[in-house]
Amino acid sequence: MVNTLNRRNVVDPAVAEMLTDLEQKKRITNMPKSKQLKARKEAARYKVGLDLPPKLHESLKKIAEQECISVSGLVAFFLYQGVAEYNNDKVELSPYKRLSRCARFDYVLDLSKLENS
Amino acid sequence: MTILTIANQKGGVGKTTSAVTLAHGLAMAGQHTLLVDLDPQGHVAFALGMDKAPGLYKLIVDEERITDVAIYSRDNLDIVPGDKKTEKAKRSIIISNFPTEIMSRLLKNAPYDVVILDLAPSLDVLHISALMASDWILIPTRLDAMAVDGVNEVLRSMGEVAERGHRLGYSILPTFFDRTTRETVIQLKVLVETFSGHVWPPIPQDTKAREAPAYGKSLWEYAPRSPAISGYENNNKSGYISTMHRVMEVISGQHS
Repeated sequence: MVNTLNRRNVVDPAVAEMLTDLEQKKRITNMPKSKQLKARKEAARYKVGLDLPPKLHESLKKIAEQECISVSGLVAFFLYQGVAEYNNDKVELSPYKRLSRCARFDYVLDLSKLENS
Repeated sequence: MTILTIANQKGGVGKTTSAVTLAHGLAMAGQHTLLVDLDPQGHVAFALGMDKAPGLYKLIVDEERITDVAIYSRDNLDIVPGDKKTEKAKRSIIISNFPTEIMSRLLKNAPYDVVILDLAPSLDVLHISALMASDWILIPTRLDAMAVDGVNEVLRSMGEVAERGHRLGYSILPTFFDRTTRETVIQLKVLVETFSGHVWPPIPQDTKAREAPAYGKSLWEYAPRSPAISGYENNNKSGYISTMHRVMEVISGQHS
């Protein structure tokens, strides 16, 4: 019976997240310098840098400002929608695919049509 | 109508800054808001670029109506200003009948969605009377041992009020939060361990919050993108925007 009990988290989620971040930063600071870089990289693994066209970045910033939200939050929202649509076969990438000259990818996406729309 | 009181017997913890910022924020969010200055320093009017005036004195001693005493400050925001005459008003309350019920009586039927009471850093009859009138107490505190002790003092006062049959909800708002200072982080942990869900996300230390009153502007007008408003990294997870969300939950009855 005792095993089925779950302790409720009564701390405000934003406060709990902040305390976790602060703990993590403190833990990293206390590590030997040789290990700090790796630990910082590990801690930042959910942060990604995206290469966005400047116009798109501007539009995102404008919408985020209008809606009083962060650009990250807005991008995550649009991405959730896009991923769901892709998984439901509502998004077709082939019209935008061009052969890539880069060895890492077979194709690149030509977004100029979207940029002008 | 929801009555929210900003209280901490310790001075310099950000009571007036919080009161002014939240009052103007609520007004901008469409809530018809009244901000009442119960502190003889009269800094509410000063922070909003207005003159100190004996508004509370007129309300209590001259028994003028709240609609006559309240002064327009911003769209949707009126204030009852205070000045040194507030001290005289306190003395007249002490000799009146039912002194602890005076704020409840004065604010009854006030034509506002939200009333915010900005208390002085003291424990007196006006303090108890404000607690008796309130639905929710917000306790700003610096993250140092003396200010955190001030939180306990407010809670003791709330205990006295509860003995008179009026139970209050409360939240603790850590202010002047500096995430690089060890003592700040230790005190935040102590607060969370002691008061758990009553602790709201902190307000980052921000020079803009000190500059705004000098220009007679609220933080929303003076520095809407400052860390004090939108938190570290502008992610709205701390700062007054996050406080506003929680106050709106209190007003709508979703916060318990």
